[in-house]
Amino acid sequence: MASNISIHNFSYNELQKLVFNNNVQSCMQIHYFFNYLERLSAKSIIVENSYIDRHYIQEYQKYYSLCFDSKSNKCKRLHFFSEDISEDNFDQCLIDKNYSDKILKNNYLGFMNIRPINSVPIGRTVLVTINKIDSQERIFTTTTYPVHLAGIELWVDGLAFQQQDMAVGACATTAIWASLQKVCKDNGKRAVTPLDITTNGTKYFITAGREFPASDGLTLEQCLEAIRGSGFAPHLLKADSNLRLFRESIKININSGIPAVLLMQRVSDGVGHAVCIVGYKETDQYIPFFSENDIKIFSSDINKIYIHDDRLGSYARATLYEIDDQKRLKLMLKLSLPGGIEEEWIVKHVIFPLYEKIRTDEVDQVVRLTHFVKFFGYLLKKINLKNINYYSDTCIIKSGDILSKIISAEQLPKSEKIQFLKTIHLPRYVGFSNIYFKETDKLIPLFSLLYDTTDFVRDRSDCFSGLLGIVCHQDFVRELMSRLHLQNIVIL
Amino acid sequence: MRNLKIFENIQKIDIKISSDDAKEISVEMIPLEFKEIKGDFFESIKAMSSITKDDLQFVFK
Repeated sequence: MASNISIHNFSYNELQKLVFNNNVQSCMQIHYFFNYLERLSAKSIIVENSYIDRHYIQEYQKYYSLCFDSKSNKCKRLHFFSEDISEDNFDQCLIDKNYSDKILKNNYLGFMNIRPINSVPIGRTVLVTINKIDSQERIFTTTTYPVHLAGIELWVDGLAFQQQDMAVGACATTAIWASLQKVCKDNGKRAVTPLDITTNGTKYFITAGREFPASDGLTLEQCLEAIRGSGFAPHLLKADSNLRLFRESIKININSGIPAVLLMQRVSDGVGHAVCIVGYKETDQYIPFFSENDIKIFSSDINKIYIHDDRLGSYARATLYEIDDQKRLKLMLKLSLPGGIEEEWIVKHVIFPLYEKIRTDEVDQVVRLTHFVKFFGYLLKKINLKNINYYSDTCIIKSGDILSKIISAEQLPKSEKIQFLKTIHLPRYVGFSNIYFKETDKLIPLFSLLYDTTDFVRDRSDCFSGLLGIVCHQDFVRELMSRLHLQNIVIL
Repeated sequence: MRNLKIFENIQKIDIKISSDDAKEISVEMIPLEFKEIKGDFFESIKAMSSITKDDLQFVFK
């Protein structure tokens, strides 16, 4: 019986041959992935020649098994390593765990499933982020995938990508699929497949009359339905009324581990396209998102995002910028394609798939913290302290993560900490906002706010609405907050 | 999680509140102006969620 494993040196020609079954073919994704893997110093490819991929097999069951020109139900899986691996090396790895950890585990860059569909071969692909090779400050929302290669357990931190197969899904399908990979896993659900997305999105509304082939794309309404049908609440924002807060929303959701589905329109021909935002890079400036009288609240702005674009590959860098179009600001995205082509897109909407019990969102959170900071500024005035510029960062986070950090935070006062931990009762997810002020270019924490996420904001005029706890990082803040005798809000 | 780094190495600042000033502090003192939700910031937030029928029918391929 032939070996299921084969080992290859990493090169463009070898990758092309493996992806296209020795046919002389190419596609933009192969160029992109070759360049990406070369940056990660890929040296070897280990191939599992027969591999069952649940995401493909569902497509096979529903579509390809009924095609006259039969396809296989099996994929191939390519594993990439930043180490020269020979047949002998690999054999040694199978019998020596320490050697296997040194050679395979420490140099694993991820995998790419190859579907037996020559026109769109690239199936579920999970690669490490570019953060692995340099120290630039990029924030990604990723998850850990366990991988088994001939019985050897490996791990890759990343987010799944795949090439669009118009037979069963559109670009919007793959963008939603990528986004749901992460949130499904975080919430204990099995990751949905592209077929699930198309089926959920077209269950009630079909624009072009047929579910398959899915080459007509998805409308915005269908995108929302696809997310709802997958068990998540789609939180939709429009880009053109507050571009600063729109970018802040993307940042907050990525910080919260929620990849976003970005919906755009190409400038050159008006075509709509969807991608999944998986990371961002900040500018070196803090820009206010709120400014009123003497209160300003700043946060870091973003100008680079990292996207899964099914036409291109995973973690593709795109630039966000604003233009003034007939006195109306528009948010634009610029993307470089192989061959030096630059595409410009108008950003239309973003969708965040939220856990179904999260009924607030990051916009509510920003409004609430804005109210609270205005009130805090008023308190400072009352005690004759000069008002200051405030800086904030926000996310939606599991309460257990915060409480365990509080337990290990040595600088918080012990008795107050014990009292806080014994008193506070939080839902599974809380809105978490940190407020700082700046002194000689350094952000100094003032306090952190913990908000309920399970109810919508019933009274936006109440600066304590939904507030469950305040962690004071400075003694004078603790003294001020204690003086207020706030009901139902636990102070640390 | 990046936001949780706030709990690491907190730099303390030394601000003392005089007892006279502290007496002034109570939750009842919140002035009415803080209860008003108006202005461009809040209007623009409302507009971020206003989705039209045309928006919903736009196709993404």
